[in-house]
Formats: sequence, C-alpha cells, structure tokens
Amino acid sequence: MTYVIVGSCVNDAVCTEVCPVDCIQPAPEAGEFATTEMLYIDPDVCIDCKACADACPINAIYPAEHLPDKWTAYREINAAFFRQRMRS
Amino acid sequence: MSKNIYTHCNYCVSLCGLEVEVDDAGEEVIEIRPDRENPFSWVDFCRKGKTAAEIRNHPQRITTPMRRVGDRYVPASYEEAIADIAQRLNRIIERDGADAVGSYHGNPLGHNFGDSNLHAGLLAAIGTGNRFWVGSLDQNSLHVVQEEMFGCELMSVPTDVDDCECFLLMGMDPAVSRFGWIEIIPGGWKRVLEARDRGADLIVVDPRVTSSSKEARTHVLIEPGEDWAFLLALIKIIVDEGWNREPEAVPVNGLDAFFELVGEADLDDLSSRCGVSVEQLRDVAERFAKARTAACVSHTGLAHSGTGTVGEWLSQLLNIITNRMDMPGGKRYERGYVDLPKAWSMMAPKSKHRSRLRNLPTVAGFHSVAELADEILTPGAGQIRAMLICSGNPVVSGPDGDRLDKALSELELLVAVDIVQRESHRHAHWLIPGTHWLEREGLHLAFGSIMEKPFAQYGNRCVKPKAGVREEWRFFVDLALKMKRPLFGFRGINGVVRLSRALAKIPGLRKFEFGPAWFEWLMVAAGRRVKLSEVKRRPHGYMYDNKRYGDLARSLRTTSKKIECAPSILMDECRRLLAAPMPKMDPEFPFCMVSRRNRESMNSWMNENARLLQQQRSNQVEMHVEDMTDLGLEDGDPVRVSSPVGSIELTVTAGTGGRRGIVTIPHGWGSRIFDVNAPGRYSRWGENRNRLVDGQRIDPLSQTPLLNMTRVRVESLEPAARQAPTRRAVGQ
Repeated sequence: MTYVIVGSCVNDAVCTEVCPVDCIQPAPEAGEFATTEMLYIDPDVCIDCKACADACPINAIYPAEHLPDKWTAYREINAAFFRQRMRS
Repeated sequence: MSKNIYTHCNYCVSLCGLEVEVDDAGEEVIEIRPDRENPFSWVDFCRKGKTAAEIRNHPQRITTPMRRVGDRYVPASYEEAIADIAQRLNRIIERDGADAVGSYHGNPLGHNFGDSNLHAGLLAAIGTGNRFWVGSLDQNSLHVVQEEMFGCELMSVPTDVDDCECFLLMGMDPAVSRFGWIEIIPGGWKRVLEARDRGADLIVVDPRVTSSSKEARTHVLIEPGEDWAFLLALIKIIVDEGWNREPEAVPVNGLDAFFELVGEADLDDLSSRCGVSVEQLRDVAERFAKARTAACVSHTGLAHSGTGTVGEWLSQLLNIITNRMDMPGGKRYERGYVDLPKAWSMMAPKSKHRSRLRNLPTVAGFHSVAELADEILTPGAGQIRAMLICSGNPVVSGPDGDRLDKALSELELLVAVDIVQRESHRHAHWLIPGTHWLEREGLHLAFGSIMEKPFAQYGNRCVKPKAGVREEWRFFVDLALKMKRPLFGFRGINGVVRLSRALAKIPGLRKFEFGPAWFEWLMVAAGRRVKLSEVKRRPHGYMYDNKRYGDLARSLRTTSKKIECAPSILMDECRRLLAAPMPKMDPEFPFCMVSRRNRESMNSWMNENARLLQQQRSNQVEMHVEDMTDLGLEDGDPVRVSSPVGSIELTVTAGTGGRRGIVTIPHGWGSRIFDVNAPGRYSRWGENRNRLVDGQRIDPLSQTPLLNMTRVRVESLEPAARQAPTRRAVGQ
C-alpha cells in the first residue's frame, strides 16, 4: 500500500515536513521544487503512516486503494516520477 | 564509514523498530530509519523516532552534574554531587524520618527496566513511602481495575485487532496516538482500518470529531466524562435482551451481584447522562453483542475523566459478558517472557503507605501527583523536605502547576535527573545528567506481557552516552552506597555490589559487574519461555511463539483464581455515580476542557525539537465553530482561558465539529527549558493547560486529577475590537 498525491496538489510542501521517511519529492530544498507541477510520493518508500494525508491542507492525498475515480491515474503518475528519476 | 544498529524507539509504547545509522566511533547518529526487517513493528514509524538524535544532541543538554550557587549553576564531578546529596539526604532522614524524602519519576525512566528497577532499589534504601509517579496522571485507573479483577496491577489484555469484527473505541484517537496505551499493538490503527475495509464494524465514541472518528462507521458523540453511563447502558440493554453469553475462556465470580446493580440502573437516566439516545444505545449494543468477534477498547480519555475507574471496569465487564475475554478477535492476554507480577513489582513495588494529609493508599506503589504540592507545603511530622525528580516534569504534567512550583521552591533539597533542566527543575539544587534512550540498552521485562503478540526485542545501545555522563541506574546505585543504606532494603547487598565492582576491574570479568543485566538474565531464565541469548542474537526482534488463547485463566492472581466482576469498591463507586445528580452547567465556567494529543508531540518533553512541529510549535485552544461565533471569536484570535485555579492565554482555532461546550487544549506544552550556562535564558513553546486543573478534585479510586473534565471560561483578549457577536462564518 502507499499514499498518492493527486492533481489538486498546490505544492504547499507541508507533507514533506511531516513525512517520517522523506518519500515525498521534490522537497522545497531541491532545485526542481521551483518548477514542479506537483509533489509525488515514492510508493517503494512510503510506510503508509498517513501523516501526509492528515497534514495536507486541501485533502490532495489519498490511500492508493481509496482514490476517487477521477484521480485513479495519479497512482501511476506518482510511481512514474520516481522511475524516471532513477533512469535520469 | 558508518554502521547500522537495530533497536526500538522508546518514546511511546509502539516501540517501533529502528535502523540507526551511526558513525564508526559510535558517538554520533547519522540517520534513523524504520527497520523494515522488524517482524513486529516495521509498519509503524513517525517523525518522533526519526528526529530522536536532535533531542539526544539537545543544545541545552546537561553533561555534567551542576550545583546551584546563588542564581547560577556550576559544574561539579559525580563524586562531589553524590557526596553532597548523600550527606544532605541522610541528615534530613535522621532529623525528620525517611518520608521527608519524596520522589517523582516520569515515562522516560519507566521505558528502561534497569533504570526503573534500580530507582526502586534506591527508594527502598531511603525507605520513603512518599513516592509519586506519572502513572497517577494517566494509567492508574487500569491498575486499580486490574488489581481488583485479576489480582495483579498489571495484567493487560491487548486487543486482538486482526481477528476483530467489531471495534468499540473509547477515550482514544488512534489516528494520532497509533493505538498504544497499556497495550503494544504496532500499526494498530492501520490494522483496524484494514479490518474495517474487510467488513469489520468500527464504532468510535468521542465528544469531538477527530481523524479517527471520521473513519468510523458510527461516531457516537458522547457527553464528556460520562463513558461509564454509556457502557452501563450498553450492558443493561445486552442483559435485558438476553444477548449476553457465558465467558468460555475465563472463570468469573460475582456476575450475579453485578447484574443486580445493572438492574438498579434506569436506561433513560443513563441515556440522558451520556447524551446518547436510547435508539443509538440499542443499535450499538446489538451490533457489539451480536458480532462474531468484538472488543471494547478504552484508553486515556476515560482515565482523565474523574469517573474513569468505573468506566474502565465496565469496559472490561462488557467484554466479559459478551465472551470477548481471552478469545480470538477480542481481548487476549499475552503472558510474555517473564513472570509478570514479579517483574512489575520490581518496577512498582507494592506499598501499604498512606498519604499523610488525605490518608489515601498508593496505586501500584505510588501516591498521586495531585497530593504532592500539599505534602511539601503543609508543615508537620512527615512533611516532604527533599525531592528526587527523575525524567519527570510534574509541574507541567500534573494539576495546578503553579502551586507545585511554589512547593518545589520551598524544599531544602531538590535533585533533578534529566537530559535538560525543565520547568519542574527550576529550583533544583543539583542537576544530574540523564541519558537518552539512544544511549541506553536493555530488555524491558514488563513490556513483554502487554504486547499483542509473543515478541521480544533487546533495545540495543546505538551511541555512547555523551562524554562524562553516567547512566541513571549507576547514579542510583552510587547514591545508595554513599548513603550507606542497603539497596532494595536488603542488608548485605551493598557489599555484593562493591565486590562485583572490584572483580569487574579484572580483564575479562567486566560483564559480571552488578547492574540491570543481572536482573535480565535471572528473570528471563526463570520465565522459561525464551533464552536471553536467543533474543540478543536477533537484532530485529524475536517472534518467539504463536499467539495463543487461554493463558489469562491460568494467570489470575485473585484469591478465588477467578475474575472478580463485582469488587466492592467499584460497585460502591458505581452506585454513588448512579445516585449523584446530573452535573449542572456552571454559568461562570460554562465550558468543559478536554485534552488531545498532537502526533509530533509527546507529553511534556519533545515540543522543543526544531525538526518536529515546524508549522505550529504551540498548543492552541480548539472550540466548536458555533461557540466561537457566540463569543465573537475568529480563527487565530487570542483568548484567555480561566478556571477557579488559574488562567492561561493562547490563540483559538475552530474544531472540526462534535459537541458544543467543549474546549480542547493539548497538554504537555509551556515547559521552559533552561540554559544552565546562562541564568535567565530559556526557551518555551505554548502554554501549560494543566495550570487550570485543580489538584483537589480527583477520581476517588485512581486518584487521577480531572485532566479531561475541568470547567473553564473563555474570554476574548480583544474586547474592544468586536463587542457584539457577529454571525459570519468562521473558517475551518
């Protein structure tokens, strides 16, 4: 299981402060934070603790298995962000 | 180069497995991660554990004994500190008797068995009955109920979460607390949600809307402090409808007498007391009683309510009469790896001592913090003149902190053992360095029996104590030796300790030195369930057996060898509550203050961690949005909250719903951390809401103050700005 950030993310980054395993990227200290459209959760590192979902001010984070229908694509979008990083 | 050391976190009882990366010298932590190979707890981890090295490397950390000279502190050696403290304590004991020396200790000490045990050894050497502890602020109700029903003050029955099909959760917010109390269930909340997604029923009872209640199938909005009435109503409905079942796994005594009491209660009366309709009570009772498996789980919220001991007892009885006790999917007893009553008595030795002023007995061997200030301030034979405070902060954790602060200022001798100088140590004559759990080691002998599965993990030392710092237990032993009073009160033992220390100087014999390891080895060997070497061999922890049911019946310590369902003190107190008139609202103090926990905060000792709580490093007053509108308040406005014993100022924020008339303020905030090297310099975040709590009003059985049921008044601090209440919406 993992949590997933969906398209309504506003890059508030409060989730990066509460994540105990730093699996939400890009964090504000990273260069690409300035240009990223949204933040992403690495499904391989996420420990499913729900801290990010509780902290998110706009409820843009869901457990992967409870994603609203219109956001289901974001499970893959989150995972793909980290796959691309590994390649680059 | 670096290496990984595996241990478990020791902030809360989730005991999350940790992978701690340290430098080669074993002096500094590089990073702390969750230990994904821990078979018990890897699913749980939070930022408190992740940032533990920040607290260990606290900028105000005390690394040498410090003696007060005027208004400042000067460093001293351990030898100087121990000699001076021993001489002054002996003088006070010879003049006024042993009870003139009091003690208080907090959770961080309790989390290390060796330190707790040798602390008890020192107190027995001193011979004082004036022992106080943090348990009287949260867990005493459970100790009273377990002693009365099971015959042992610690005989916890953790929730069998994975097989449970109906959860009735009371006085807890596990989405924040992770389900831990006197039951260790790693990932407990996550597993409850998984069970719910498989079809389990989830009923959350809480006067507030919380992250947990939002996940429930039913949220029961109860009147605060009336959990006992709610539980008694459920039991009454179940008994009247004939839905109760004979307990299969445990022998019981006194059920008929208890049912007689149930017969005396009136359902409509109970319903109006707890503010839950008869219809909803029936619905919950039926779902709970008819579920294939179910568990009623009650935690701290009840303990703080003034009626929590009766509530806790009724919670156990609800489980007993529906056959949930020591049954799959109900509440399961884990007998652990040692003889639990023995291990518990080493941490919390029983005592027949009664308090001088209120003539109250001890609970688990300790008196209530609610009595401490009076026992120091009131002159007469047996008055406390010296205190030893170990890893504790009772001015912030306990009731009416202003009065306790005044009391501590009048002591002849105050010795504080801790990693930093906190609010309660303000008047200390001696500050003795403490250790952080990253610097300690040990197998906790009492935790094995409150775990939900047969699991043992040796807490490995990750880094050395800061240079010059001795472990707490060494200080306790050294002090008893210097006072020439026998550790544990056993004549001759000090000689054994000295001999073992002399022998340990011989190369190869160091490991035989007297210390906590002696007790670990003896207790685990006598427990005959696991070998200590087998536990130590598995750094990620050892799941040494399969879960089994039925051990509770064999482990009961009551004279009847049965669970006592109708102990007279609980029956009497329940009848007293039934006969008491319903509490009336006090127009002068119209709100009820309750507590809550922040996930990134742990009682009174982590709020200063800069890597936690980055956005909101303070507590706030949370109120119902309509109550705020009535008072003309908006989110973020400053308010004064007052009770008959004190007042504090904080900003207000709108809650997410729930009952009106409730003011929620997290506890543990507002403790100053002093800089011992710069008199007058300190840091502090938030406000100590327990300054509003009266030390005179307590649950008569657990002696716990009403941390959750204090009546308060809320006033805007900007009266000129908005005189008339406005009707605009307040942002959530």
